[in-house]
Amino acid sequence: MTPASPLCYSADQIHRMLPHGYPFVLLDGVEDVVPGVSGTGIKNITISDPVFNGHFPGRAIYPGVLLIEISGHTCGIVQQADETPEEGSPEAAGGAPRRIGVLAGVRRFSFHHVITPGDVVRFRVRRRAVLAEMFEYAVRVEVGSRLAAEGTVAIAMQAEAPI
Amino acid sequence: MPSQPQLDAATRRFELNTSLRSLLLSGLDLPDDPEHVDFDEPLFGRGLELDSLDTLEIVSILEEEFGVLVSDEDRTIFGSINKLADVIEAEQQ
Repeated sequence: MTPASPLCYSADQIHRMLPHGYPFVLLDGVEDVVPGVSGTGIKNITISDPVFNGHFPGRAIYPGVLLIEISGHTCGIVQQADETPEEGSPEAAGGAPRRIGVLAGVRRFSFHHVITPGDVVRFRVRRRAVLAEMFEYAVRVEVGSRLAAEGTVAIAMQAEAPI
Repeated sequence: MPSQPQLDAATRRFELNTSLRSLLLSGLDLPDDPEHVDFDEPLFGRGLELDSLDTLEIVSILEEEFGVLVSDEDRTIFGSINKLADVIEAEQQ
């Protein structure tokens, strides 16, 4: 992955783009981004992740609910990439508040294989529908050539509220 | 008495409505028996009680199954199965 590439985002770049903080900075990278259309999120599963303290003691299985969360993050990055003004453009100079994607809906998510430490998980997202500020993405969660989970995620783009 | 072309058009429209109703009920995970959903029944509000997320699913179905693209200005088409079918027919002509 080349952080400088406009179609790939490093973990540091993702951290700056998403509003989440520890322990919800979950993506290690996003690649193959076609802004507003598709992209692939990458998550390296490691036994040092504190979630494995409880899920489950003595049998580490990455939680399905976090797979959905990471799917939403990947969709948010792909959609945000479509809105980020180019450096030096009037929009960038205007300092308009940035917009972020918030999880609006989850439909028909199914889980086919457990994900465990050592897995490199890819979240392949592709936009299915758009209406106003709502965007629906089809998601395939893969480990190698194996389909681990799939479903659809809807996000709503909105101005980031000051904390 | 209706002419044969009129009867053919009515048959095609009934088949379109029936197909669309099946796609919506399965795509939106609605438990209704298809026969109980009238083609003019409101999709939102007191009809099938759909919400904005369901609208996105309908947009997907229209594009993937019928090649119809919906813009932000077309909100009135979500009124009923018949209104959706009107848009599909217009697109196919």
